[in-house]
Amino acid sequence: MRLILTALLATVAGAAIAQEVPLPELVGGSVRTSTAIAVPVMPGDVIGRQVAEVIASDLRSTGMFTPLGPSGLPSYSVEEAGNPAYPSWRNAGVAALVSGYIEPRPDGRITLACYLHDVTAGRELVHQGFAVTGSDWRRAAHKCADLVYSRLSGQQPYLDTRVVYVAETGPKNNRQKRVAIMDSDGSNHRYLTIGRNTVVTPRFSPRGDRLVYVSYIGRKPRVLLYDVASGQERLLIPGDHITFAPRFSPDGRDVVYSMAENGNTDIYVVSASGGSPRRLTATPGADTSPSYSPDGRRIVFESDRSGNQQLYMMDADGSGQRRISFGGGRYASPSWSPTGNLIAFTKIAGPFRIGVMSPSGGGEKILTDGWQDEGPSWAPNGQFVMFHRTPQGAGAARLYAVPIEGGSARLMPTPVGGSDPSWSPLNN
Amino acid sequence: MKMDRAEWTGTGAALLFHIVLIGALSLSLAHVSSVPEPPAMDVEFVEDVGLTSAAPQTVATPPPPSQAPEIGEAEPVEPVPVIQPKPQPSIVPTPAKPRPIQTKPAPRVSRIGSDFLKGIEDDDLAPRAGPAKPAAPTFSATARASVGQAILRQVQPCADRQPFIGEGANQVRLTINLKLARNGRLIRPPTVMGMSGDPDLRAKYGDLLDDQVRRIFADCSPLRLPAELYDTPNGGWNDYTFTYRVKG
Repeated sequence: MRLILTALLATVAGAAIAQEVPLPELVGGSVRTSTAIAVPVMPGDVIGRQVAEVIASDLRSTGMFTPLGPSGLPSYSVEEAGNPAYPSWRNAGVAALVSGYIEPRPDGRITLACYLHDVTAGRELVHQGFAVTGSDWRRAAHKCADLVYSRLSGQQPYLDTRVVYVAETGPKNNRQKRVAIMDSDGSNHRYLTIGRNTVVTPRFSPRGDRLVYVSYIGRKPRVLLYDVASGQERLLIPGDHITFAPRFSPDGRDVVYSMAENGNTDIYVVSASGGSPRRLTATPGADTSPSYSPDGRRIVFESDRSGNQQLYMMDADGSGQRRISFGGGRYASPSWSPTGNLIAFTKIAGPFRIGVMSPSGGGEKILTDGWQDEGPSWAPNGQFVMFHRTPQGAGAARLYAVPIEGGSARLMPTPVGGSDPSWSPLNN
Repeated sequence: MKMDRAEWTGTGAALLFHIVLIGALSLSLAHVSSVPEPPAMDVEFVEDVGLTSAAPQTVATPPPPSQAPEIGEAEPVEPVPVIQPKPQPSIVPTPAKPRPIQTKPAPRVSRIGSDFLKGIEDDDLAPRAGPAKPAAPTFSATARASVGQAILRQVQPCADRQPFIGEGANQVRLTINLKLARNGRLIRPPTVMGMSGDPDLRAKYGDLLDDQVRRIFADCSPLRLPAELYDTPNGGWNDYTFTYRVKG
């Protein structure tokens, strides 16, 4: 009997010890470095080199990768796109490989087949094909770059997007300001307004098919709605009102904006298809720069009701107004991130800087270090903020983009000076 | 045989302990979030890498007609058939490099010291018949810990090279299982048995952490481990489980 008892107790003790023994743990490095990725010329069509160049450029712009190629890399056949010689690429010193091919389609379009390989592990990570018209090959290249970025970062894509901004030309005392639109890599640039009136703050609709912007008509700021496909535009609020700082609601049905009346500036909302405006604030002072939360239930805005510019929060119906910025200096031009967890702003404490904070006002983090950085706009994946930087002294403002996880700001390629950028949603 | 009062008390206590222990283990296991085993890869892990290709041969048939949708829609692309496959040792084609042997004393007293690999060549790791038959080795907790240290020590240089993934990735922890051949090569890719951490972060970073583990073991294997502990009556390093996370 004693033997049985001893055995039972030993089993209990043994099991207890086994339960306590933790599994060994391997800890990865988290090295802040860019990944070397090969982007050789894609076979199948003469545009294969240009496609690879666009993909490499897109990947470089993320700050996550050091692309190699297409120049200087060996070519490969269509058959090898999905089955590359991994040891050869390993010897080239890259961790990943973007391969693919371009194939004509019976309907006259082309298919870009895009493959991503983990060279170290010797396996394909993802592949996808994109069919476009021949003239739209850049779109397919952006889509391929987005596929690679998403798979290797865990983030949503953002490279196949457009940017609208205010293109600035001419001397400072006689500057011409026009609304311009371009792909996020600077290609396909064109002007949407002719420059007769000064324009500011263009903003995309949630589907990217319309814009709202402010045009100084008869020296009065007025909000205009613009249809990107047709070029048609109309006043948001008929009459002679001073309106500015417009932004679409997340469902695209409404536009929230500021209107100055009787020496007071308040925030209003109106249907994008017309109708009577509804007043959301009624406090003495200037309430402006409203920006909806992604769920459309709250609005962050800027107000000087406390004596200087600070950020405030309210429910979408105007109730529950409360201040959320309490750091030193002034805060302006808030913009709610598409992911909902951050608000970007311009902080004015000597220089102008771009920062982010949580919607409750905590966790403030300054992202830029320029002399005058302002006008933040979010990439659709919520990982980058675009803004305009005005250099100290002479010189035109230029557009920059900065990652919210830290890193240097990257100059956006625009043919002329630019301000007030707005990043489009991901293209369809 | 009649039990006295003390024996009854002891038996009762032991049974009670069993019930409590079974309950606790059941509750603990119930909280382990597991993920389904990933589908088999195309990459074949082989024990012996020769000069001929071990990669699966694909049939050289013409690709199906392309049916890509308009841009923005995901179009599945069939893998391109290989017409002239090249020799492609799928994983671990590099010869084993000499690894620094650490002589740091193990935290626990062990019959197998942390330097048990010192001076042993690859060939010596294979089990061989000896003139005297020692006592059968057992995969005790101490031996398990020593093997764990040896595995981590050998792959740590490759783990250290892994790039930063993203904010919050360090809050996700994977439980990884290795199936190893006697020569220290992987029989199949490291398999994710479970994942802990915030569900959103797991969804965002789980695949990327899995990628890292695969890269680490592709780059830092075969492992050199004591042959006698490969497969013992109470376990061995042929089937080894550990956890993986990244630094904060």
